[in-house]
Amino acid sequence: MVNAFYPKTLVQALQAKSENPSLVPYAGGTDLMVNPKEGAQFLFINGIAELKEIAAAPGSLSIGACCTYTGLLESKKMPGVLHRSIIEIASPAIRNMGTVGGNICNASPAGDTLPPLYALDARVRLASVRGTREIPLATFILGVRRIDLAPDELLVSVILPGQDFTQGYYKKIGARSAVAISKVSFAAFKKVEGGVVAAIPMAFGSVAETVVRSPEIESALIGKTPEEVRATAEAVVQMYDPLIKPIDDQRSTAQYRKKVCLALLADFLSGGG
Amino acid sequence: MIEFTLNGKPVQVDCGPSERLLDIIRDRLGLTGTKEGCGEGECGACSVLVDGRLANSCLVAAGSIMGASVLTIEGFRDTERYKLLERTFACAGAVQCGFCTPGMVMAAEALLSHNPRPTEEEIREAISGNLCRCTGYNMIVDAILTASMEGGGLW
Repeated sequence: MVNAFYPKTLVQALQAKSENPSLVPYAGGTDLMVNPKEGAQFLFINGIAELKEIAAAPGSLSIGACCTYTGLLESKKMPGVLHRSIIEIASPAIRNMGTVGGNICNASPAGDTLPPLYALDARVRLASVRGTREIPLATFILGVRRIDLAPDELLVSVILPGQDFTQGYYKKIGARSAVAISKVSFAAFKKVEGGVVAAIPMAFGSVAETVVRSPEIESALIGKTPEEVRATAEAVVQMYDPLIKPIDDQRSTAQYRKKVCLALLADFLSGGG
Repeated sequence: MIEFTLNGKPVQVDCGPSERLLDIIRDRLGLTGTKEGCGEGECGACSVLVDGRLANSCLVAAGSIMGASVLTIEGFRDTERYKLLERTFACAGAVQCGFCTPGMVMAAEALLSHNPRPTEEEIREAISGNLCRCTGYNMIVDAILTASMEGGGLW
């Protein structure tokens, strides 16, 4: 029995996945090794250099699926707003191993990179021996631990459209500032151009099956001055209220989650951070 | 067969690719300085360095470290850096039950090797993934701060 594959290149990895779709991709291991599936055969993609590249192109940034959080933090190409979110994630040891691609494919409602990536309109590039496709992250994640990935496909990179946000906000609330799985997380960005809001993406984690984001509410704020946004904070919180449907679990209660994430929203809208 | 470098020496271990590095170190190679606390990456008791970076060995699969260089507390023990940390930990009262200590020392080494003169805040961040239930952390932070100040040239 062959019980692991060690591809050196993406082409080799895709070939292996095509011939043996049950292979479990191993990127950083930090989620996978907590509850290892009995008899799982790993496809060790953590050594593939081309999956660790961060490439800036005009108007976009491509982040390889196997980039670790530490790799992102050390890259000069990372936008400052994302840098400030990633530094909040987990602990140094987990950030040294954990990868962006792993966090996405794990598709936990509490995935820490997901709210900032949703808010930044991230797209994902998926590859197989059949070819490559690129779709929005928000459609790639289907539900709790469910992703739109064919058995022969691998997530190869995350694409961020370049946007020069003037304000970034990211808070995760857990039982402890390091490591703890989030009870609630919230990421939001703001771009002010010519004195008015040009973009104001807001994303909530751990309060529904997947990240909650509402383009409708966001568009209602576009064109307002920052002062007007501040003045309407309470009304905006009311608009989000019905969209936030958390659950009770071992980490927190629905009531606490809802109250805290709406308080974070109010803090962001009134200029906090 | 998994091949990697452990504490400067090449090793070959006949184990499954999904076996935890922690179990290889402790059970197959008999190096029990690395401790198992939570087994989920939350406590840092099993901290080792993989290619110079802090890692929770309970979350590292054998197959992922083919060709890598792993340093455990046993390999670090013979260095001048360790001797200084041992002294400053002792002087600061940073060791009580001792269970977290190997992991804390490896976290300190991971920090100081990248940042020889950290601020107190940077030290707290560097050990944020390591739990200590005895000291309340302040003595550990003091120990690392003292080592950084006395360790001119070591890091």
